[in-house]
Amino acid sequence: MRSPAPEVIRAPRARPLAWHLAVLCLALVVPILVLGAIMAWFYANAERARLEREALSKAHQVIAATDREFAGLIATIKVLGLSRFLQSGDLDNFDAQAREVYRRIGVNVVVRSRDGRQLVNTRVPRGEPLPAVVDPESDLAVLQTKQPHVSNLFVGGVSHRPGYIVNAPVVREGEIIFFLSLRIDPERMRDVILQAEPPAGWTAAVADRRGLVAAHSSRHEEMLNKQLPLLIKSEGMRHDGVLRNGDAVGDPDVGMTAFSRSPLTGWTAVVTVPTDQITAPLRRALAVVMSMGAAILALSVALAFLFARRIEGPVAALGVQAARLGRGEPVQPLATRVREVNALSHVLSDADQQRQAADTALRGSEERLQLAQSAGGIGAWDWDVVSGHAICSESYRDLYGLDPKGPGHDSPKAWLAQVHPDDRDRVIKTWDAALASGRLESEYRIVRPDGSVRWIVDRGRSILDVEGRPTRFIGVNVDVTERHEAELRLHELQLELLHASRLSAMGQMAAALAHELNQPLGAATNFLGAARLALQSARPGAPERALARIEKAVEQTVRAGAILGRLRDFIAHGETDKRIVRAPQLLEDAVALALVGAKDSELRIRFDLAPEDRPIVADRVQIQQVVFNLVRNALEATAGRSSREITVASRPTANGELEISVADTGPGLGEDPEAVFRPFASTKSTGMGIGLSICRTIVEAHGGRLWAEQRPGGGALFRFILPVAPSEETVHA
Amino acid sequence: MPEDCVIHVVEDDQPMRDSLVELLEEAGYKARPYASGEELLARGSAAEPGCVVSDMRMPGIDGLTLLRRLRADGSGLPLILITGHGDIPMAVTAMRAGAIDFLEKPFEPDALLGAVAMALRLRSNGAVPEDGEAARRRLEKLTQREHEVLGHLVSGKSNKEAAEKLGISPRTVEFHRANIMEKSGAAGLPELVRLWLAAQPTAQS
Repeated sequence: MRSPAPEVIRAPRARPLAWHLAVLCLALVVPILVLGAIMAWFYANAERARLEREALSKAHQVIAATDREFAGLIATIKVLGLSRFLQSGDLDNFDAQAREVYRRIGVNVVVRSRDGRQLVNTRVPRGEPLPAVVDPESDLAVLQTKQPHVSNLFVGGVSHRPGYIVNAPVVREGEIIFFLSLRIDPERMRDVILQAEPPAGWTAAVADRRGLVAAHSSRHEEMLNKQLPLLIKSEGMRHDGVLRNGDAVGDPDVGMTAFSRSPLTGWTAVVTVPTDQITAPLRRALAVVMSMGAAILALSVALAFLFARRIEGPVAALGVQAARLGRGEPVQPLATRVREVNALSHVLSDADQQRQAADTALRGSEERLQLAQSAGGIGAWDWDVVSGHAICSESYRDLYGLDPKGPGHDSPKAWLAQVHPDDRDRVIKTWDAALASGRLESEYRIVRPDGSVRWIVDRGRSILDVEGRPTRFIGVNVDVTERHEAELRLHELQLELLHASRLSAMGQMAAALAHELNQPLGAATNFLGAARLALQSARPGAPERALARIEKAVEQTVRAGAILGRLRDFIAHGETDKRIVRAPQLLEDAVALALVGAKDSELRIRFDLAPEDRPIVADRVQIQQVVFNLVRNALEATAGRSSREITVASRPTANGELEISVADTGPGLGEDPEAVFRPFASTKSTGMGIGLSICRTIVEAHGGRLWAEQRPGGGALFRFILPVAPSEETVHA
Repeated sequence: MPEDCVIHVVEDDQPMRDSLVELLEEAGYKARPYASGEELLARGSAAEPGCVVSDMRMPGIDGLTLLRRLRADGSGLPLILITGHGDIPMAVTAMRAGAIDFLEKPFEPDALLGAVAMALRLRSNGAVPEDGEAARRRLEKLTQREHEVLGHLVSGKSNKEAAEKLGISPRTVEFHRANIMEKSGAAGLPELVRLWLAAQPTAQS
């Protein structure tokens, strides 16, 4: 049994066009040939039937000829039997008369006595002794019928050769006195047969009643006295017919035997037709069909090859065109005798034109890309991860100050050599991370061969194979030196602005600040003055009182120092200094500073700080500036109102950030809360109106957001969100 | 030292209030602390004679309002204003409203004690006018332009406003102001205001 292996799909076997055309021709020719063969067979059958009819007719002719011969002889013998010499018994005279007959018609006349003794025989001279040869069967028939009778073949007593006789009685007064017989040589009968003119190749024969050949048209001597098998078997059979073989004559070369039996003599004529002649029509017809088939086949194959060549030529030309298209060479349309090939060729030609147009567009696009890259200071690179080989664009080499026609950086190593030494470790780490993530976003300095330093932004991504492994890494470099310098200057300017803004706020609060500072300083002065007076007076207990007052004076100077310290931090000019800070302390300090000089019995400050003290990463002074500004704005918004309440709150958000809010019970912000963040949009008489815009800048620089909304129940509500410091592990990681 | 005199100390800031009380008591005065002007006004006529030392800036009613309310109530208690951050308009306003003196914090303890002593003296002697003649003599050395500048300043105008009025630059106004202080020999703004008020022909009512 076959193993249940998966079935292999085999590609169809490719064959030349001529083969296919030849198959087509065969498919057309074979039915014609089959039809021809069938017709040939019918033709052969008709021929056989015709032959059968002809053979039978010939057999009738032959038996008719023999019957005529015998009938003639019977007439002769009847006349001869009436001879007066014979009737009178004058045998010598009769002998002369008989010899006349013998001489005339060549038939041996014999007279025998009733007991079979020969009395007259024209074959031997008169007087010579005669043998007593008798055909008892014939004699018996004559005796019974008293009518002439044709004998079977027998060997004559005189001639010693086979022959046959017409035996007739000589009757005198109703008595048979002699047997008169005419002996017929087989050769004579052969001549009779030949009168029927059997066609060439045919044989005609007559056989006696026992089936012994009495005459044969062609092989007379050989066949004479031979037994025909058919006639033994066919005793009592119908008097004529045709047998489709040679069994009847015992000759394998005979294909047809026709026979006809004579009612006169009981003899049978046999006509044979050789097998050759019977099969000849079939063979001829088949030969014609075969030769026609062969001719058509040859013509088909020739035409198949001819047409194949007519088609193959244009198809081969198409192949050449397709190959040219593949190589990107121009393709002209073909003009062949095959319309479909011409149409396909036109399609190829069109495709070629479209390809040329696309090529032109691509070249244009590449040139524009090149131009855009160099104009924008963008350099592209492409690194083969597997081989480690890298290529880079012309603008890239320009960016790195390399020879524009040279190879540039052909490996990451060559590139790394130009990265600023201080940035190299960081860049390698970023690169390793990018290999893992497939995304590169890096900013670093490079050193050009002339020693100048440029800032580069490097962005890229990996290209994966089907299994998800990186095969290539492509990216672009952008020179951001100018932007970087501008950002640095902007940063400095922003710091200046923040500082100026704080100084300005303090300037506006100068009176209040002076009061706040003078309060403890004045108190201290007073305590010290009182102490001095006590010491001068030298009254009892004076030193103790003086000491107590000095202590109080110290307390007050410390208090003034604390205010000054807070103020000094706030107005100090410093770089952004982000540290982990605690929100509650920061908020309290900022609010304290903002409330300087805002003493009002109506004013209520509420702190609603989250119990959870989450550290934030922030520049303490800048965030204080935000809170300070918001609280000052709240104070101004509520000034002169009957209910003055300011709520400073903090709470963690769902995202783990810290939200700080300052709410007041002032008039609120109206339709468009965002308007207050626009610079120089202040409605206040003092200040430039940049406070809130600065606040937003600060919060956003911390990665947070600042926005305003209406406070439920009236008033304004400012909220800002700051990211919380990462947990300890992360910080030290 | 008059036994029946009480110094009413009105100050919202407790350490300041304590220090004032202790200083005055050490100097031999009887001092009574008040956390706000309302507390003093509430006492009304029950307030002992003497004088008032009041802070200028306070929640509720401020020092100047307290002075006016006292006068409106018919109280003649002399009042000394102390302030953390004084300016000329405030000083002029205070003096015109009838304040005895106007002290800027921090002040010398002696300055307070001197002002208190003067206030008590005024109380016993009745109103002693400033020597108008002496005042005028101290101011007569000023140029015409300096007089104009002084007039604008004591009327409560800022340097900038005065400069606009006079058609000169604020820096020139500052220069004139320094000269005025120098020529008049005034130790500070309150004294300058006092001099100017005394020098006015119609100042004395």
